[in-house]
Amino acid sequence: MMETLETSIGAVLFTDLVGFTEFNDVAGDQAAVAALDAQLDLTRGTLEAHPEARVVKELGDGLMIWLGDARPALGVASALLASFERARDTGTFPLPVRMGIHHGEVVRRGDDLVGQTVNIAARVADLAGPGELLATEAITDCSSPTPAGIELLPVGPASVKGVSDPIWLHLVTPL
Amino acid sequence: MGNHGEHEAVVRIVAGSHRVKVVAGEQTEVAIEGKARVSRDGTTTTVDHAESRLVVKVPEGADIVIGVNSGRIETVGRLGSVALVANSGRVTVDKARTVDIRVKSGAVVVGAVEHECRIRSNTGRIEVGRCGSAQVSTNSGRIQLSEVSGSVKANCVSGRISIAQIEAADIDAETVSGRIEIKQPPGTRAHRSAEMDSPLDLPADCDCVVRARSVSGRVDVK
Repeated sequence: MMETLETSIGAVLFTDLVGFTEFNDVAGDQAAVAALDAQLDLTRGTLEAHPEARVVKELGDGLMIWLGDARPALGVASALLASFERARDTGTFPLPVRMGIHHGEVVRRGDDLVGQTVNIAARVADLAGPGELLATEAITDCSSPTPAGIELLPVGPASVKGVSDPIWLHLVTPL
Repeated sequence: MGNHGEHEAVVRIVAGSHRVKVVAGEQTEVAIEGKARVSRDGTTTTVDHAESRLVVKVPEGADIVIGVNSGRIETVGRLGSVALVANSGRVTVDKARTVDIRVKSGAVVVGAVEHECRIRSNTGRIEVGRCGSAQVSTNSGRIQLSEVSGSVKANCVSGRISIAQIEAADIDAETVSGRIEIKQPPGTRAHRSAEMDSPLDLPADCDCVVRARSVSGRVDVK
């Protein structure tokens, strides 16, 4: 008999440290570990005020984050990016971060989350530049009207492996 | 994507894995050569379900949104805003008002952009002729900005960054293992800094701030 899957609907965010492997190579293991720790600390600090949000897991030099409810998710993700940028401006964080966010159904597997929503969020992050947050139309639609303090710039339709229709993306920028 | 008083056409192209050429000219209607579905909603034309190489003829100044899985994309003539996402393939843009180009793998070559130029490539070189402000990044590949008249943010993991400005403006350039070369107009009084200074801390007579950082590469600012 097939086991019933435990599912949730919400927002999934991926972060990625741009250039981490090369940074590790030239700056050494200690500096690399410090960068990973700083990423985690800044993230946990930003998520503190949002009880539903949590770091699901570390993935090499990136993080997978569950933000839950779509309405505040864009604002939380934007605030997280701003905290990374502030830390970089003051010289306390060495690498730029890129981020991608998507909304949909996820399957709970212990503390982990799996499913197409997770896959898409990860692939959207791949298309973001350093210091950028890209959001799918699925989450911008759920977050309408656009939260105060951010602006959505249309980026275009992305072909994502395993998804038949293109996914429309927006660049989330602070106003 | 406003048109600032120019032609109001917006063309959305979703082309799967086919070569796409967009030609901007004097015509007032959108026309295509090749097999694809075309639908119109007001001033927006959508071209999708492409089955072959596409040539899309659009009014000069039209805004273009393109999504391609893989295949070469080329634009000829002057466009409005160009927003483009591709998994792989070479991208060539002739002239545009603004561009936002994201390519996972492939070179991006842009002729002239009047205002903002935003380009992201995971793997592949980025070359821009003339542009206003620029925000460009690639993981592995060279970045070359030949005639920039606005601020620049350039990030490269393992590749060389070359920036030549024709008007003094702020520059933030960063590589992990590549070289950075910056040429500013003669007489520019640039304040060089490794970190972001408060505007209150800047010298009163500086024209711009240059932040150029490379973990292991050489930095030349002229």
